[in-house]
Amino acid sequence: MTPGNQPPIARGSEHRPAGIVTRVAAMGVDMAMVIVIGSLIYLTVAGARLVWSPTNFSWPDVPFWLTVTVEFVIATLYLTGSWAMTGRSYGASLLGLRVLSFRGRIPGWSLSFVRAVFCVFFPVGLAWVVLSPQRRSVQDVVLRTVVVYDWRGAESPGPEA
Amino acid sequence: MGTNSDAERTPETVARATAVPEAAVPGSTQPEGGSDLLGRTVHFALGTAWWATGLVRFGGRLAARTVEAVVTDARKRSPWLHMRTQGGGSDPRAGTEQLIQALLRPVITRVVDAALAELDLTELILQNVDLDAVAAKLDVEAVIKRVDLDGVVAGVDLNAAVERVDLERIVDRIDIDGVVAGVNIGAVIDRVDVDAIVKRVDLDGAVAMVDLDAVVKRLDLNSIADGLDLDPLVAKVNLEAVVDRLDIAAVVAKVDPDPIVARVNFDAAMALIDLIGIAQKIVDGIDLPGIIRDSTGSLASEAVHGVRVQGQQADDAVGQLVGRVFRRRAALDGLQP
Repeated sequence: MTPGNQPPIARGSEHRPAGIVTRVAAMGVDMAMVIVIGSLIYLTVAGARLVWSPTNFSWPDVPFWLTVTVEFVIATLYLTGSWAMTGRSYGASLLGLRVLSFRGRIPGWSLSFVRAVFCVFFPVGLAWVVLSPQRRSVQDVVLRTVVVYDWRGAESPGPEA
Repeated sequence: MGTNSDAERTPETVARATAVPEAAVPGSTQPEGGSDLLGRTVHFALGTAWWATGLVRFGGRLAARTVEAVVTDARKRSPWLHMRTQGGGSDPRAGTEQLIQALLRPVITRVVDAALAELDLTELILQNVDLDAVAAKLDVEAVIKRVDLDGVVAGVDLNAAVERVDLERIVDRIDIDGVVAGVNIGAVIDRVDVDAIVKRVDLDGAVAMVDLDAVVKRLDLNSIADGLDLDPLVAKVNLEAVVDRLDIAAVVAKVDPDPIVARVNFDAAMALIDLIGIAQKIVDGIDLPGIIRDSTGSLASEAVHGVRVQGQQADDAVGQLVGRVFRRRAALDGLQP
């Protein structure tokens, strides 16, 4: 079954739009993952420096802006890849959530990248889920995506064409 | 009994007294002329006596005739005398003889008793009778056939006879060793039909009477076991059939393993076991990573499921709260338009 021919995800009680609590929890898990990935990169760099010059080893002194930049980049890449490939990041997978396009399919790379940048630089847009009757964030409203409950494991509705 | 003179008169003295002296025999030692004279004298005396007694003898015969007539008439008149002389019929001579026998019987009886008292019949028989010849002429078989042995045995009080027998003395006098030494035991055993004897024996009853506990207590099983060669016996046993018939579970249930385990030298046993090799084989045979993965995955999936359910309920709670604030219908909250 080709990705373009994937049927849209069923809309029922099991695939209702996710609420603010699960989505915030998923975002927290994803943030932790980004921090872990950034820390691993930092440790990798430190290890490389230790191997390169053990006698002159010292922990890398990373400036704040670089740290923020790197974390933003890691978050953007992490979310883009997760949504484009499976429609769910690690946090969304843990909470049983999935990001779908307006066609009910897994968003494509471009849509995933735009949504990732939008979420990283404007995370407050998630608060609109509370007020939205359809439980949509600002990003969902702008990009016409939706985040639903999906407790299925490997099954996925397929990526966006 | 007689007087002293009667006691001294034995059969020998009687014989001597009745013997004719040689001197009294005419002509034994006298000259031939003297004997002729003596014979004539004897013949003359006898003839004279016969002639002189002729009248007496005639008188005697006449008296006998008279007595017979009187007795015959008396028998007719007297029932008592008729009864005593019954059987003679009408013959007057027979009646007279019976009368004489009746009169003489007491006399004869007394004479015979006196003679028996004087004579030792046993001694006379032993001296004068050839008992061997008599015994040789006896038909012993006919005598035995005529004896009623059943009647004799029936009349014997065997119990009393047995009680009077001193068996201990009899047994003491028997030379049992000699008797046993003279017995050909092999021949006796060959003639014994052991099968027939065993078939007739009530073995169940005999065994029931035996105190087996006492017998077992008296047995020295250790010495018996030492004398047994068990190897050939065990080689003949079908152990598989025996094991198949055993209720192993029941036997094991009766075994108390604690004392057995307490006697086991585990250190020595462990020293003989290649624990490392066994553990390596076990680990190689077990998909340990798979087990850990499955177990942790199961735990994780349960935890994740709980988190998801709780999150979904929290979402619904928040949605309902917001719906009340904005007066929305709760049913529409979260659903696509």
